[in-house]
Amino acid sequence: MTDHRTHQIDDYFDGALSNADRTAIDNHLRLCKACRTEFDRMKHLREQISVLPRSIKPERDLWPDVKKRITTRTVIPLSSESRREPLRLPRTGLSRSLRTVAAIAATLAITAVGVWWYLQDPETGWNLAVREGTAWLGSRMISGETRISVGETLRTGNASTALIEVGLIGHVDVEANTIIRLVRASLTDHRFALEKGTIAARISAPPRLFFVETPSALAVDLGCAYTLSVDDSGKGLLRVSSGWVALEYDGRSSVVPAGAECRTRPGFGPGTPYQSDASARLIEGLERLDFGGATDALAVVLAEARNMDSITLWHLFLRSRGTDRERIYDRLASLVKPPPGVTREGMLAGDRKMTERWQDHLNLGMDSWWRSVIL
Amino acid sequence: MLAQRYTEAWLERPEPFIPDVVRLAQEGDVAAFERVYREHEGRVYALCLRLASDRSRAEELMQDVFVKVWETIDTFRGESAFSSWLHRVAVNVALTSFRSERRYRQRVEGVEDPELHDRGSGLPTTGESLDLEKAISRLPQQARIIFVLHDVEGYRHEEIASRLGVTVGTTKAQLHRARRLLREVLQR
Repeated sequence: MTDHRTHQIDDYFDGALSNADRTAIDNHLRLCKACRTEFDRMKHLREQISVLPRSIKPERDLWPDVKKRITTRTVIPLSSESRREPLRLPRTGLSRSLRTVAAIAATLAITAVGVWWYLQDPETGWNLAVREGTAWLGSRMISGETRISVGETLRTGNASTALIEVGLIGHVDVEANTIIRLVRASLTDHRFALEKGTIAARISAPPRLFFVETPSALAVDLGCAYTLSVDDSGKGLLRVSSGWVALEYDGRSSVVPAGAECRTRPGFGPGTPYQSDASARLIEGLERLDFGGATDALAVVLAEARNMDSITLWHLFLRSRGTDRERIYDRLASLVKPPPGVTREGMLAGDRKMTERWQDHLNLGMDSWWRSVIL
Repeated sequence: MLAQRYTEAWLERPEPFIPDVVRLAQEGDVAAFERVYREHEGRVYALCLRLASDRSRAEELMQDVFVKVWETIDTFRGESAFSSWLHRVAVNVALTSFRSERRYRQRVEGVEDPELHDRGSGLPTTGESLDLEKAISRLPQQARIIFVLHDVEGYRHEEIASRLGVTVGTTKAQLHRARRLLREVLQR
């Protein structure tokens, strides 16, 4: 038999085949001894993998070294057997002067290599690919693949787009007519400044490792995918497609979940988040309320709110005072019944435990960071 | 409706939970962090040892992982299990380190693509039999990392490719290669 199917056995075990292909493989294995042998070997390998220990104790206790590093922030050398030997130049018959020249040349070479290596390090810059047309990195016209270093500004034109790798945690698509600068590229602070245009970020990392500064707010990634646009006047629009994003400006913050949007304004910061499918009247009302100070707009927002707009009402409630607070509470309570133990009086008086309980009931999370941002 | 599905998923998400010992560590309690370390050291060391295939390197990585965990533990918000969060930090630290080494080899040693110079493996070509741990440790580096992340740790190809900065085609090809080499050794 020459028509072997061994190349499909991996896919078979990974569940990557269609039902028809699986059936074809099953039938083939009944007839082909070579493929059946390979199949059995793969099965044996998977059995071996399944019994690998999930935990292995280190041969020596590493905690003292870790403790020293976290308390003194110094690099602790490894055990003596693993300590790297210092580089020793072999003794040769070269004269002293020649050895001096060689040493200087070696020093220069090592310095040059060090500078080059530093420039390539993921903490000094990231990979950048211009996908369509040409773009500008500083004053340099670029196309194809290159790198963007900390401090450099990328400008895409009318017909150019680019992709930037965000260290090892994700990537950012840069749309046409966008100006974006790489501000910081450390492992704990991946930061861009978006001056204008649109980016789409997809980040897979713990919260607060990826930031985008805009003229009107700082977008803080909480593990998510989102699109962020800034127009010529510095106004921004955030659309979150998965996870959560926080927008912060001068002590004012909004937390935006997947399926929601939030607008930002220079000098004001983030407005109130709203579900992407909220009514046009609600969105227009929020615009006037947040950025225009139009108090009559609150009535429109409350009338238009649905129970799935609790993220909007919750932000408004926590930021309001006086009779507005009462009106927002009543509307929210009519849409989502407060849990036992939560009273109107307590909520209006700002009782922290009740606030947390209702927030929990609304499934907005009991996360202390979320609370500290909003409360 | 898409937005409604998002809303439903959001409403159904589990309540964030931060274990007490983690909360204490977040407040700077070193004794609490030691308890975190003791609880997770075996799991993290197993990952580091399999990825690095070298005890000294694994110990070095292990230190780096827990230093990074200490530095970033206040970013853990309880939206996932702490062990999952810590495991991701460990994988990130290890891959960042390997990637730096790879770049170093490319830049300093003038090797365009170290994998091209890594075609062979440390696996015996004769009839020598190995247990799986030893066989994994002798795989070529990239094949080993992809095999460990996919088959042992359960990461998806897309995620591995993204973290390694390679294509999904590369991770699939390297996984196939690793499995083939391991099957050959284990069947002896």
